[in-house]
Amino acid sequence: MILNRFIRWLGRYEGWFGGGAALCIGIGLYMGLVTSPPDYYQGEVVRIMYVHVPSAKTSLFAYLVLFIGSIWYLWKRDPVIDNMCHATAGIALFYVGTALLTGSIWAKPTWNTWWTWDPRLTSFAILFLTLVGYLMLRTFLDDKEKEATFAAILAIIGFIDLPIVYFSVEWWRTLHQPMSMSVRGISFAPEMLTPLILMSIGSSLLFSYMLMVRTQMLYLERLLEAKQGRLLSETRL
Amino acid sequence: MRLGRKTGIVFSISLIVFGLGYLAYGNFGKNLVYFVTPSEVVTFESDRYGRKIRVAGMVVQASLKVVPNTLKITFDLTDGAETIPVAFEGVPPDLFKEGTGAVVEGFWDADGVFHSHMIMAKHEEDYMPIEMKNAGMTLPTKGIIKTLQVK
Amino acid sequence: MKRFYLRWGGVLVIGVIICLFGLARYQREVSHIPIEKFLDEKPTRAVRVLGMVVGGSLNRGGAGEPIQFTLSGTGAQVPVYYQGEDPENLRELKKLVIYGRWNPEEQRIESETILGVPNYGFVSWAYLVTLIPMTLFLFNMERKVALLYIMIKEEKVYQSEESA
Repeated sequence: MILNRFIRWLGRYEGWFGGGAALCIGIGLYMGLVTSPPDYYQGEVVRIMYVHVPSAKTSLFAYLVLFIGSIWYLWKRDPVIDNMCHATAGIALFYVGTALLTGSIWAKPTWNTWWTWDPRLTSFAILFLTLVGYLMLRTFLDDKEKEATFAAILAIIGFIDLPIVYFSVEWWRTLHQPMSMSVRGISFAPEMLTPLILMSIGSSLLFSYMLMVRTQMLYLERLLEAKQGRLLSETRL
Repeated sequence: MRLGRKTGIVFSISLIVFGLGYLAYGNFGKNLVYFVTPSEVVTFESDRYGRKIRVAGMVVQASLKVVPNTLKITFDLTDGAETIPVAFEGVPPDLFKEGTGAVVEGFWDADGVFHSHMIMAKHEEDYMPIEMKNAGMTLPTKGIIKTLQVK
Repeated sequence: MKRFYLRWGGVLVIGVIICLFGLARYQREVSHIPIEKFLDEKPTRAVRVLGMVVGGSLNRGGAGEPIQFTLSGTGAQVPVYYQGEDPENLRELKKLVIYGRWNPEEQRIESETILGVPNYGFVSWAYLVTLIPMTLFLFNMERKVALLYIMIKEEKVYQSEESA
């Protein structure tokens, strides 16, 4: 399988992803916190954007990976792909949580509220709940194959929310501002765009790196379980 | 162990079902219209007077008046077509000012004034340093008025 | 395992260095003092003072003319004389940071820059709640992978001994 080989090839460069992420995030943080100017309207609070936007973008990317992985699992039934999906969901939940928290912290000084039932915020909260549900579902079932199948189906159904999250600010009336990078052009001053892009790249690289580590972790856990199980059965015999 | 897991299952399922149900039926449908515009407010019949709603618009330049020694302010809110007066009591957000977007929560009454206790600042999607703004530079944005027109 | 801890030590050091840079910038460009402290000290160099514009005190004058208003703290009030670019954030009943110096003859602050309230606490919290859990999450995962490898190896040794 060409994709399997591609993933194995990527896995060999695991360290590069981690290092690249550290580099991009390090420089991005330095620029975001030290050299980038305050915004004319929001002032210093604009700096929250450099962690909020990358987390939000990466969580959408992570869910996309989960969606593709789930389809792939249902098609090929490869347990390693299932491990990857499981790992993606855990990391995606982390990113979604971060985006929600930083967004809330940003909203208080900017909008004057911690939370409001705006379509963008509501659909993002649904994404969070979907991922919580996915991870819960995975702990319920004893049959590994059944667990993987049900989880994949849930992930595929939950994908409906993704375009809603992404386009909600353009489709409906929201308090959340519309997209800053769209067909209209880029509405960031260059000094602010650079750290934002660095942080976004860093965040995606970090996600890829985390995915590799976590997939390994889940795979090794399963392996250890299997080994211990075999030992146990041997001693009983 | 077994019991703990079962309780966990029931608890989390009910949490998620409740959460999704609440979002889907309680809020999401209603909040697809997160706010109304001044043009819609002026067409309100008397049965919608006094109901809590959100209105979004742009604060009209030079319309902001502070009643001295109180926390009351008045200003006009426009969507480009219609303008409504707003009476607000409380502390407005830091980023609230003339010529920017605001979402006000409150009720419309027979006196033709929108009474509010809560203002949220809505801002545009452009980000630039103050020197650039003072130099008269602009970045591509949808514009507050245009974001209000979205159905 | 040694290389693993070395790597994470490096990450920690870089994090601390960026923190220090951020702190230095905060001291240099953001930190401000309340009005009461300003009136006690009356420093001769330009400082940033936090206060609220008193309702009804704002006198904008004509275009290009200086703007005058009163800034209030928890009790004290001080007149401000501002000359410069049309301020983006000036409004009555609003908290502001005035960058200016004390004029002892006129008993007022003379300023050329007006800034919004920095709300820097929100910024630091946003970064803390993102970076600390993210780092711990990844650290734990990597540590677990390393430990799992060791455990599996040991398991194998044990098994081979059994079978042998």
